[in-house]
Amino acid sequence: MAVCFIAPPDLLAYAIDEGDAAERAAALRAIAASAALRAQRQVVGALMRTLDVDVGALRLVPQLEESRRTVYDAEHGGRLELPGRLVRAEHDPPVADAAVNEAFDAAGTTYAFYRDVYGRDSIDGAGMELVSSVHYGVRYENAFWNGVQMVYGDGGDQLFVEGAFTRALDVIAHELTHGVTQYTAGLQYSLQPGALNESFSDVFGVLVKQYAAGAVADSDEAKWLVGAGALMPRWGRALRSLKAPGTAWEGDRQPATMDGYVDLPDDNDPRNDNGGVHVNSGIPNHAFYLAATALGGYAWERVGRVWYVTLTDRLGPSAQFADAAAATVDVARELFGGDVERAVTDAWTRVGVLA
Amino acid sequence: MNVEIVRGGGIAGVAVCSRLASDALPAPACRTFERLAAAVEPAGGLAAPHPDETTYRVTVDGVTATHTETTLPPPVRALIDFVSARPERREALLPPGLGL
Repeated sequence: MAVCFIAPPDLLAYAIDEGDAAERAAALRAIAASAALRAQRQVVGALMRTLDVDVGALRLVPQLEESRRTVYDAEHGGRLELPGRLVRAEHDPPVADAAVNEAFDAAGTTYAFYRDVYGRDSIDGAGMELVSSVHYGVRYENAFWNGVQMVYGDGGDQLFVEGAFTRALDVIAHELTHGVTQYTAGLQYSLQPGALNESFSDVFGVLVKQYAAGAVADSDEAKWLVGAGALMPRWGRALRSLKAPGTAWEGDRQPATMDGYVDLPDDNDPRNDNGGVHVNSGIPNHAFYLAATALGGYAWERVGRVWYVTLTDRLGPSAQFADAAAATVDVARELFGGDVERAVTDAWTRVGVLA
Repeated sequence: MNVEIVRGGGIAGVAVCSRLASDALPAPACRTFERLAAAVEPAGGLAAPHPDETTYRVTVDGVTATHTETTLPPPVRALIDFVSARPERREALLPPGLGL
């Protein structure tokens, strides 16, 4: 059977389920090829969930035995060069390149947070290797999760300080949490589901930062900033603020409540941010801040656990803000009852999602 | 030829618009620019990108191609890299939802 790499996911699933060894191998190769293209996340994510196919079986990136973290140097190449040249693996000593060590250490801190706090073994819950590539592109101003690995540019062009992406623990935890979301709720990256996807990454980004610092939840804004110091100073102090959405930098349009919801289309126009996923995430972000600071203590222990169970066990790909609010209230009642349920309910009410 | 490149998405969700016209360039650079621009083929139907992935909309004399970082064809990448390196380009930062 000839399998083209643009074969639809259900055909590939059929080939994997029902085909002979050659057809199954061809289907997996097709998925691997398409994974380098646009269909990657949709195809891989759906198949991971429905067929229990291990990402390692797809050989999208080299998998090393006994390895939990690997960092590659993309050597300023583009997507066709990923993951690049292996420069550090688990148990290797630090190298001379700071970006490599930062990516390695932050992946480890994020892994330890999910394992020690929520009992989760890596992004997929099954020990998936954390693969990172640094020095992607030329002064590339971004870091992203491409469905199978982390990709870090160097920045230093227009918006971001050089080296910002690997230096910021919360940014790395944010990106790795997109992987957790991919393997759990699978929130679509569009409109309200996309804003929830972004928000969960911001929430766990700051929780990893707070956990690493042993910080309690209070109104100190520094604890609630995502990417503090990542932007060039003329633009602002951080990418986002969970405490005060809309104030982190010059172009920050995040609303804190539904009254300020920004109705943007998801129309393929890069200006519209997939329907405002980085804009309206301010609303659930602020709900988390309100609940966490109302309760005090370590935010990851109670409200963080409520958000984690909601993400990993209660939401589906098309979840709306109201679904997330209802689910977090339910989880708060089931896990803690009393003051936690009240704090979560009050938080969603104050941001206008619950009446 | 006139080229407009809008880069959006990314972890900040901000868009940057770059514009460059061939009549702003010296002759040798102009020839390179027009060769690279002519190689861009129209493309649309951008599927949902990966979280925080950069998205691109490249317009060459009214013909538009939209891509994501993980689908960007090498000829389009070459044009983007060329424009990004030229001091003659004009650029504007566009917070989400704000027009040009």
